[in-house]
Amino acid sequence: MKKQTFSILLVEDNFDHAELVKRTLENFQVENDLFHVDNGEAALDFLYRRGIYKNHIVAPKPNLILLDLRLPKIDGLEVLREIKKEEKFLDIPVVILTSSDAEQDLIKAYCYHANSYLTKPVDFLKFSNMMKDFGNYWLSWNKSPDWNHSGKKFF
Amino acid sequence: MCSITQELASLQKVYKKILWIDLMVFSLTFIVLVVEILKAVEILEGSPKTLWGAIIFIVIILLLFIAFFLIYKSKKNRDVFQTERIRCFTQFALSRLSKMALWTNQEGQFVYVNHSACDILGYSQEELLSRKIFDIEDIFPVSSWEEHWQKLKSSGNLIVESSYRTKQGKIFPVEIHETYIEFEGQEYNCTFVEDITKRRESEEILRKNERFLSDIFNSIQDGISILGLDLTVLRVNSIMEKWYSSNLPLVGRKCHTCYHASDRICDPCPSVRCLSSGKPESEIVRGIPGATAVEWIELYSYPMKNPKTGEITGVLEFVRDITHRKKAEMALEASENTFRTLFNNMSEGVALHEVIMDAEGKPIDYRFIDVNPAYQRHTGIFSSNVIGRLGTEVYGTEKAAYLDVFSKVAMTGIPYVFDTYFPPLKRHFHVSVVCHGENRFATVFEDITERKQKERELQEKNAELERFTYTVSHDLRSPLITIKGFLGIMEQDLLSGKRDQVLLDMKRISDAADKMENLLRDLLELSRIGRIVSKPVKISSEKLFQDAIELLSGLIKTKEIHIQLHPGLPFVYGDSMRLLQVIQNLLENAIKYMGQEKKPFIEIGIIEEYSEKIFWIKDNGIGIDPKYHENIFGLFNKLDARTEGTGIGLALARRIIEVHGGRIWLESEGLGKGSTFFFTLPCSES
Repeated sequence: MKKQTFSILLVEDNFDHAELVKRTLENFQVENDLFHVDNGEAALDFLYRRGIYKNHIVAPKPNLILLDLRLPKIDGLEVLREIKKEEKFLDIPVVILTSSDAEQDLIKAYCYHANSYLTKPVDFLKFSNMMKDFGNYWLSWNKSPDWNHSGKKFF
Repeated sequence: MCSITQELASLQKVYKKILWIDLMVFSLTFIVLVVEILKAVEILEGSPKTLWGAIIFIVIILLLFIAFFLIYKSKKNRDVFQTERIRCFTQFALSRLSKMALWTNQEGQFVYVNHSACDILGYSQEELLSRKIFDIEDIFPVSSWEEHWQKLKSSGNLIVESSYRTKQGKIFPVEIHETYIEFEGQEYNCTFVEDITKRRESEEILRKNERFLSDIFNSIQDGISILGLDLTVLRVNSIMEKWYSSNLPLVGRKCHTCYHASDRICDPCPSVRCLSSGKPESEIVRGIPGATAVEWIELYSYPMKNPKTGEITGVLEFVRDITHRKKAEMALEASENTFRTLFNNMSEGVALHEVIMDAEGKPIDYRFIDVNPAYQRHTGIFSSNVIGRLGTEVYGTEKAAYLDVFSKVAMTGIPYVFDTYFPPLKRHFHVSVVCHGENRFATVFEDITERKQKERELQEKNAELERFTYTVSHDLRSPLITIKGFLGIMEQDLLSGKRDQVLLDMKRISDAADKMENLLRDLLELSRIGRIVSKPVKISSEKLFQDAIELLSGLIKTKEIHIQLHPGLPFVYGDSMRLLQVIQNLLENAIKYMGQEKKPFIEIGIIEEYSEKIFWIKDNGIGIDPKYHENIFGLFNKLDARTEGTGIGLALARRIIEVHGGRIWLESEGLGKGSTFFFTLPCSES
């Protein structure tokens, strides 16, 4: 398998959690770029390349979005809906990563076409294993369109 | 008969002779008188011849004497004739009498029988006179004759009924008038006997009629009482006697005495009215309580009139026992009273309607028949504006409200219950619909607007609680994840000898623990606010603002913020500690999010809108995007993840203001435009 740079947009208001995700993914030794934004509005700005994210080097189109639900300014579910409404983002899988295991959030997330739903385990070993499996699945097994290198655009 | 005629004829002759004598005497007397008068005239002339005169005088006297003797004798003859004539006439009448005359002696032997007796009994006079009374008397026993005779003798007259047998053997009833007579030393029974066959027959007919009428009278199972003009009971039927068995006899007493145990005429009495009006009258009156099972009677009084003259002769009282009916009526009335009381006093509104249908029998509307007082209380519509009117008129709707539901109940009789919001009255109702007659329905309803309101409030509270739980579980879990996560990482790092990040990670853990503590503290704070129990006190809002500014004076000085307090800040009622907390929080926010403004300022004032006093706190800080104006009041909601605090401040402020009965909101044109927070508080004790 040819190694690719796999870019992830992490939308997470808790910096510590963002750090945890970053470190566990680093441990997994998969070459990837992790872009972190700490609120919903910033996430949309990043995707639409607005404001400080005008430059596509600063804000490349991510291969995957890791989205927390409880976010300042614009709520995670709202961000999800925005993304899935936009045709040009439909090829980006959105994985929900949240500390909420509320049923309503889970249902709503899938209704808004989330591609996967993960809750953050309090236990670190589990957290670590989950992130490892996550990396295995999305970064190794799962096939995603590669627009950063082929230059081909699906849309 | 022949003999009597002959007798009379001979009597007639004698009588004629006597008449002749009378005439002669009268003529002679007249002549003598004339001569005497002439004589007297001569004497007066004065030439009397004395001797002749004396002789003539004596002769005249003699003649006069003879004449008077003759007159006297003829007079006596005339009396004898008169007596004989009467006897003859009596005898004549007696023998021709239609009644039988049968005279017997002491032995019962007939001594005289008249023609009628012979004719009726079929015997000749001779045959009868040779027989005795026992031969024709049918039932009279010979043995009792002597006793009967003595009875007759002592009383003189007797009237008895018996029966006679004719010669042919026919037996017929008779009435016998007996008279005892003693004559010439002999004892006689002079009887006059009448054939009473006809009388007996008519009596029988009368008796039959009477019995027939009496049977009818007594067969009627209503009471009948006939009263005279003076209200005396003349006749009653057996039902009356049965009803008033303890008051017998009824006949002969006044009606009010025997029927009502009263010595006065009852008022009202239809019979009294009937006697004066001559028309039928009626009335429901009480029977005799206790004396009879008949407690209530309906009395019809019919006038009895003489068919020829039309004169009122009495009253026929027709008495019907209506105790059962009356009791049923009273029970019905009592029941009606019970339900009417219920109807009038129940808290639920009740309206009775009838369905109005078009020519094809399709329901098109309904009409109000009746409504109870609660109807008016619930709807605010006066019953006088409802009863008799149509549903469309009363509620001012184009189509009668709930017509489909109501008419279905009225047609099928199946009750229906539903809750509804009724737009014409802008209220919620719980309605029970029942059918209470053909094409009729009743609605029993209660106003559940308040209940609905409470339900909605409860729903809101529940939703809030749910949000709260959700938030808390999420936000309390976050620091735990951090703590356990970095502990795990530290463990790995230490095992692999990587120590460069340990201190930093330890700080993260410590911060997360602090955050958790803050969260718990804030949650506790929030839960306390819902339980404000201290009585509201009068507080100067100006003082509150000054205190808050004082508490924040360090920050204000550092950031060189100009604070202006506009005059006119009113007194408010509430918990001063809590209100100070709100004001401090709002000012703190204004200071915190002042940004890089060169001339930062905060203004505080009051405006009055619709007689409501509104506090405002205006700053020229970084401002807030309008799309987050509602969001920022949410629990643990922060616009910037990097800022300090848990994000409870505004949620707390809103909670405190709302607990005081006020509102809080903000206005800001957007980023860089500053923001203004508004809130209201009660300015009077109520």
